[in-house]
Amino acid sequence: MKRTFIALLLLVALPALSHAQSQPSSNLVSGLGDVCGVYPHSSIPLTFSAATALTQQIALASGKAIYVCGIAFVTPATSTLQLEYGTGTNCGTGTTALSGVYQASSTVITGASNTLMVTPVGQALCAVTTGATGQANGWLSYVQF
Amino acid sequence: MRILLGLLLTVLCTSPVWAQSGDPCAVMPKSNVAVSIASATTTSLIAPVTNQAIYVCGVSLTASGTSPTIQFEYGTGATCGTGTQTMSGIVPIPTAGLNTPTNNATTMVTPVSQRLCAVSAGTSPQIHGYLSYIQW
Repeated sequence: MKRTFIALLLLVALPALSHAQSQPSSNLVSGLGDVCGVYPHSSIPLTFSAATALTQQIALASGKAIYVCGIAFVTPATSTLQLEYGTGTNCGTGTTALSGVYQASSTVITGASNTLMVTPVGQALCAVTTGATGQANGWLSYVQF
Repeated sequence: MRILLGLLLTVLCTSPVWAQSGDPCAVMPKSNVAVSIASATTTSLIAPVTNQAIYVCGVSLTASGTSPTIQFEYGTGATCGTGTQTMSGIVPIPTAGLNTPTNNATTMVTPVSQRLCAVSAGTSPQIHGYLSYIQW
């Protein structure tokens, strides 16, 4: 009986311990698969009606990374969009590009049960639009884990 | 023995396997709702169910008219007029349509007990298609 319990304990504990020790920005939950396939997603609107300086879209959570699972947006002929991450007000500290600059006239609709982009832990996700109109509209799904 | 049992329960309850059951759109049967919008207006697409969220798993829309746009929002009341919150920006619907590549992952989600609506705009917009979703 005791051996059975020990075996069960090891069976369940090892993957959990393995996850705890994995790289924080890994997109795999040990033994289970991709974060975006394992955890329910949240979503936010992407709403830019004019050229907008780097603006926070998802606040940081201590010890958690942001896994972008899906992104859908349209930019008109004179607008671009870029995703970045960082800390501080509107990702102003340690600002780093998460995506390239999506060009004008883009229609981007993607996403599935796997991670598209991931920030390091403890970072916020921000976006910036440029161009004459600076418009970009759509939505983004993610897991913060 | 009791210590072992306690340890086992602790690990079981904190393991991701039991902590989460996966993305609903990846693991549960989906419903779908037809989108048939013929004017610039706010249209209720999915009625609320108490204590259940709406997980939008897929979007497939085409449009005609001049500069047709759609914005998804949630709220309560007949057309989400109370506590309205946007779920998307005002998205121009491209000529090729607005189609998510799969319906096996949550693309948008409302809080629980909310109605899902679409705000259409443009000149004589005609927006048609469907949403795939789970209410859970």
